This record gives sequence, C-alpha cells and structure tokens, in this order.
Amino acid sequence: MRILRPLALSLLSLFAASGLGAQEDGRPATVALLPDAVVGADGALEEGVHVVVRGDRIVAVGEAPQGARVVRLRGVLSAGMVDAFGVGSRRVTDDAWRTSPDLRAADGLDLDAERWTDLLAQGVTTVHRAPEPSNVLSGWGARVVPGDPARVADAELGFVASLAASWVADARRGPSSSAGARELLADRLPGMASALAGHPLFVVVAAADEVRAARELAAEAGLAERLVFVAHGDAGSYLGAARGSAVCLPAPRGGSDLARRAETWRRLHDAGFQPVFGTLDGAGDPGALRRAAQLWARATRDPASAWAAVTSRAAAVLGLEGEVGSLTPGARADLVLWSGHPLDAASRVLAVTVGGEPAWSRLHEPVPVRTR
Amino acid sequence: MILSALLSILSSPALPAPPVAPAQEPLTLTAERVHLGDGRVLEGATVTLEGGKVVAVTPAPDAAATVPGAVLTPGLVDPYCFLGVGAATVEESREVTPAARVVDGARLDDPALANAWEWGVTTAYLSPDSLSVIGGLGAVVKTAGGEPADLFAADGAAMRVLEPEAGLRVAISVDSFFDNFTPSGRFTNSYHARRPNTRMGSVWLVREAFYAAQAYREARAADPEVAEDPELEVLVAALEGRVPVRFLARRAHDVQTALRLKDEFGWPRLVIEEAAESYLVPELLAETDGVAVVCGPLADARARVLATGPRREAMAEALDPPEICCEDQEVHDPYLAHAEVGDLSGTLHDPPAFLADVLLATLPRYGFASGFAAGRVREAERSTPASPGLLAAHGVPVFLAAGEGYGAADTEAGLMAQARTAVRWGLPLERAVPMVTHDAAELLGVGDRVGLLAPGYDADLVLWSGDPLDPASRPLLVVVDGRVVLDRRSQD
Repeated sequence: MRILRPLALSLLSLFAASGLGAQEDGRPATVALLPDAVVGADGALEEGVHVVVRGDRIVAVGEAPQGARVVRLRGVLSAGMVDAFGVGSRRVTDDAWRTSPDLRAADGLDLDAERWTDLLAQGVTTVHRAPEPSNVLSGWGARVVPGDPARVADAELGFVASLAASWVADARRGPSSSAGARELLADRLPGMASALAGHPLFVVVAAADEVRAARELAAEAGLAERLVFVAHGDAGSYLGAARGSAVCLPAPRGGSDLARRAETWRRLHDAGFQPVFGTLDGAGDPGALRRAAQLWARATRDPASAWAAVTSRAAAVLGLEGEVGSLTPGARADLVLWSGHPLDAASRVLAVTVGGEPAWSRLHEPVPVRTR
Repeated sequence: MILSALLSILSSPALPAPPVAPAQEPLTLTAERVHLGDGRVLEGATVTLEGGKVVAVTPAPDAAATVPGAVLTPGLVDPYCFLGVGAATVEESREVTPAARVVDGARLDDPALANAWEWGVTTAYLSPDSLSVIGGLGAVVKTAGGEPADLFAADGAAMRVLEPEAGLRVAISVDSFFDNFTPSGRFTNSYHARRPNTRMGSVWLVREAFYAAQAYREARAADPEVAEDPELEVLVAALEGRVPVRFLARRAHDVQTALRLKDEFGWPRLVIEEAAESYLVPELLAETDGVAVVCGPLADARARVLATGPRREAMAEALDPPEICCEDQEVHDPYLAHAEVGDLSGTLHDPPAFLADVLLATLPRYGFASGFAAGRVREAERSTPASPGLLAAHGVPVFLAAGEGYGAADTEAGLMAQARTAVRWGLPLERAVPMVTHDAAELLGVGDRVGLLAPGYDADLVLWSGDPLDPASRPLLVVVDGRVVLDRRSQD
C-alpha cells in the first residue's frame, strides 16, 4: 500500500535536539527506534523490531529496553550500504611510476566534494575509496565515511593491485601486457606480504589468465585468504576461473549491455558466486551501488544475496564485519530510513544517520511513504 | 513480493554454447577405412573407446560401418598455432623473457576452439607471440576437456594443458624488431625505444642470453651455492635439449642463422617455425641432425591460378632462359635447383607437367602463406605450397601447422586442408595423415599418448565423411579424450 504523506513527526523527532546524540546525565541517551519495518540480514522486511541506539552504537535489536525512549519512524530502516570498491571521477593515481605501493587514495581525495553528500542521499554510509587501478601496484584504498566531517576513517584499509592490461599497459613506462604486469607483481608482492597481512588485497582483473596469476601469486605470498578479485570488463567471459574466491563486481552505470550483464550475473550466481559490488564502472554516479544490488536481485532472484552484497558481505570483505553493514548490537549506528524496501527501485532515502548523528535528511520535501 | 514484478523484466537470452557432451560413455565406431596414424591403414575396423582411452582396434572387414563411406583417423595434432594467444602473452618492455609461459597468458577457452574442432584438431602446440626475441615457453594442449572461465561456455569447452613448457620461442624475424626505434630521437620514454632494431641485434640478444646461460650452468656446476635463476634455468634446459628451441625463421638466411646458432650452442633440438623459404636451403636442413621444419599455413590459390592461367607459357619460358654466357660459371639459382629434386613423380599422373607446376609455384613473389601483418607478409612473400613436398623429398622432417589460422576465417588453414594442398604440390600421399597425427605428436613429445589409434592411447579421433584428403570430406564426429566435441552425423 502506498500513501502520500508529508514527513511529520517521525523524522523531526529523529533529528530533533533531543535526538540520538543527546545526553542524559552526561551519558548518551538510549533511544529505541521503531520503524514500520527493518531490513533483516536476509534482506526481508521484519516488522515490530526496535533498533536501540546509544551514542554512536547499536546496542540492541528486537525489544525496546525498559525506560528507553521509543521513537516511531515512518519508513523502512536498514543499515547503511557499503561500497566495496569505489573509484571516483577524480583521478587518484600517479602513473609516473611503474608501481606505486606507497601511495594512499586518502591523500588524493577531495574531502569537501558534494559527492559525499550525494552518496549519503543514496544510502551509502561506508566507501572503500580505492586508488585508480592503473598501476600494477596502485596503492592503499581508504575507508571513507561520507557523513563524518573527518571523512577518512582509515587511510590504509585495503591494498589495490591490477593485472588488467587495459588499465596498466602503458607504452611509455611499461608493462605492455598482462604478462609483464604479472612479472612485476611476482617481483614485488612477496616483499609486501607482511605489510599487507590483515588487509584485503584487491586485484583488478579482466581475463582468466590474470585471475589464475593473481591467485597463484597471492597464495605464494600467503595473502590468498583476503584476496578479492575486482572484475573489470566482460566478467562472463573469464570469471569462471575465479570460482571459490571473493569477487567484486562493478556496479553498472547503465547502458546497453545490461541484459548481457544480467545474464552473466545469473550464471555467476548459479556457479556459486556471492559477490560484493563496487562503483568502479559507475564512477561519479552515487546511485550505482543500489542499482547494482537491484540488478543482482532481478537477475538471480535472490534478494537476500543482493542485499548482503551491498551491506554485510561488503563489510566482511573489507574487514569491517560487525562494525558496519548490519543491524547488530555493537555496530555503528549508520542507519538509513527508506520509503520502502531498498531493493525496490521506487524507494527513496528519507534520512541517514552516521554514528548516531543525523547526517542527511529529505526533511524539506514531501515524499511518498510506504507503510506496511 | 515487491521484486516479483521486476523479476520478469529480464529474460535469459539464448546464447549458443559449444556442443561439448559431458558424458564419457563407452563409444564404438566402425569405419570402412581406419588410418592408425603412423601410416598403417586398416580396411574395415572397429575402434572402441572407454574411460577416455582407446581400448581396442579390431579389424572388422565385414561389419556395418557407423556411417557408410566414413573414414577414421586419429585426432589431428597441430604443431604450431596461436589458438587463444594474443599480444598480452608477450611482454615487450624487455626483449628476452625466457621464463614467460604462454599458458599463463593464453585464453584457454577461446571461441576459436570451435574452429580447431571443425577441422579435427584435438592436440595443439601453443606458441607465444613473436614480438620479443626470446618470448618464452610454448605449451602442448588438448583442445577440449578443460574448465572454461567463460560462464557462457559449456563444460569442457576449454583447452587442457598437457605440457606447459614444451618449447622455447626464439624470433629473429622482423616481428621482434618491427616498430622498434633507437632511444635517440622521438618518444624516448616508450618501450618501443628498445633493442633490437635489426636482425643482427636480434641475433646478438639470442647469443648474449645463451652465453649467460652457459656461464650460469658452469657456475652452478662448480658451486651449488649459486642462486637459482628461473630465466637462465629455461635457457639451460634448451641447451640440454630438455626443451626444444622453436625458432621463427621465414627467410632462408634466417634459417641459416638458426642452424649456425644450433651449431654454436649445440642445441640438441631445433624446430624452425613458419619457414617460408626453407625450401631454398633443403640440403643444409637435411644434413643437420635434430632439426625439424614446421611450415605455416599454405595457400595454393594464387600459385594455382598462375599454373593454369594464360601466363603459364610465358612463365615457363622465363624459367628456362636462353643461355647467355659463361657455361663454366657456376650459377646458384635456387629455383632451377629444384628441377634436380628427385623423386617427385607419382603424385600426379603427368610428372613433367607436375614438375613445371612446382617450379611455377616456387616463383618468387607469387606465393602467399603465413603471416598477415605487412612485415610478415613481406618476409613470407617467397613461400610456396610446394615446400613440404620439396623438403620431404630431401629427407627433412617437415610438418604442417595452422599458425594464426584459427582466428581467421581462412579455411585453407585447416590442418587437413593443408595436407591436401601439400599433397597437391608434391608431398607423397602416404605421408599426409602421419604428418598431421603421429609424427606431429612425436615432434611435440606426446607421441606416447596421442596421434595413434592403438590401445592405451588417448581417445582422440575424427570420423571423416570420406577420404580425409578429399576436398569434399569434412569431420562428422570429433572426439577428445572420449568426449564428443563435434557431432554432425545427423546432418549428413
């Protein structure tokens, strides 16, 4: 049932002066949010669930504790989405070097850009902002929290390498081919093994031989456990070689190949892949991540997998499991209030909190609100 | 469900999948004629396949044929091709990369595999591309049975690697210095500002690399503490014959260079690839041990036109110019030298006319064979479809290969079509089938498992609609490791 209703008490009360960040007797207040429904871990809507927030954390999910202030929300509440591999429109790379393992994307970001707000408006609260993968060893990706004034939460979240010839081949400095790229990676990766331990290692690939090479080299360096393939180009033609590994699929910007992409994704799902998504192809398009999840849901008929891909699974790949991407006690209160199910293309973001603080809202315009 | 309305938006486009059958059930085929692969031919026999192997070949002269008129041969073995190989298998920012392996860069589930099956090719040697002087290690593969990385391909529709390090690619032809320029002048920050720029430079890089390998081998022998170098290990393996040197040489003087280097470094095994002008130096090749020649794709179209066209008389006259002078002066004329080639008769009904055709076919500039890029065509412009016959007549181990043919829509590149062409231009008929099966398998070092229809060998075979050398024949059934990859029986 869809009814048009101006935003009234719910959002105002969420972001009122006595909101989530308020204090009682010097301690953070405990607020139990009761939306129309929450998006559960399996992507399904659950009604009557309180999300209890104290300070910047979720402290309980389910029943409201005694004495807690209950705030009724009109809309669907979910964890904020996680972009596992974002490459923005601004160039964050330096290909004067053949390899640039010491560069950090955090040092090249425009932290005041409107773009971060645009991401919040699309429900994205955590971004792994990767350096552009145009070097065999491109550097460190940053954990960026769009709603946080400081933005960069971790300047060395994950490491980005690339074997995709279309990215790294360079007539001026070499290598000329994925064979040469593989050689460079084989040369440098073992020496970096200790620095990379405990961090995800993203390797951009665009062909089966690159997948095999990355897997072999990561295994030799003891980094296989955190290896994530970032699939560039036509994944359907080669990603079968990555069976059993974590993969990050580019969120499509749109375009004419969506049918082929959907069919590719269906076959990936049939082959047992449970991917995460990154806005590699959708650079500059803040809505690309959610549309990727919607396309995965449509192609595979597995909305649970689709929702996890942009929340809990992405968090796990980034090593942020339990911190972001799920409505679980102990997680940061990065919450998004939607007008309907986030995988429904008609749904819109109504409000976002980051770490319990109001970060964005659609307060000033009437919006269609779906209730259940 | 909210999503249910959206779910139906995307339908599954029906994409064609390669017809690879997953089952490996026992298969029995009876044919009126069976080529075993080593030259023996059985008139009426039954071949039984089970568990991916040939389990029995039984003479059955009176049994009903699986397909009337059909002929069985072993699966064809292509000793030199670029199936699934692209430029990304060669690193150009260095000229010498012996340890690079083509299987690490080739697309093992290349759609061009279907072209290989179409022509009955079940085993192939994949060569690295020729853009570097020492480009790395080639591999021997089966053309089916691997796990495809392409999600749109059927199970088994990928190459399966038998031997990943089966030959060391050396190229001194124009390929390895084409487009290079000296570091002085333009674009000094390009990897094309690299060595070599000439044939001499290419050859020096080869020699420099093998000098280093010799020194390394001696140092390792004297002191086991010397650290292992993977690249030099490959070169040492070539020096010791554990890996053959596969030398791209189209021009006759490149062939001579290869033989000179073989002499200098004592390479026990040398394979000359493409070899467009090898017919100009057949004696040299014949008197060298441990050398084999692989002729690239042959095309007889242009030669045939010349041999039968209106200019034939004029050209025959040009071949036999009136004596001008100097009877005592020894003139080396390679084209006339072929007139002395011995036993070429018997392949056609009219030996003298046939010989004239061969001469016409060997005329400079009118042949056209391997290599499609401009520089390569220049080097191959004096090729001839008569090469295999001429070399075979001299006792040179000679082979046929598709080269770059599988990627192109060039039916002349079909291996059996090439054998047909070679026979037409002088190769003894009985050599044709062994040359593309058993002998090629021996050349690749897999002669103990493929290339022969005998118990214990891999169940690789081709059922042809008629005599395989008949231009009207085509494969009806292609089996790799007991798995049917092509089945056109119902269409005939």
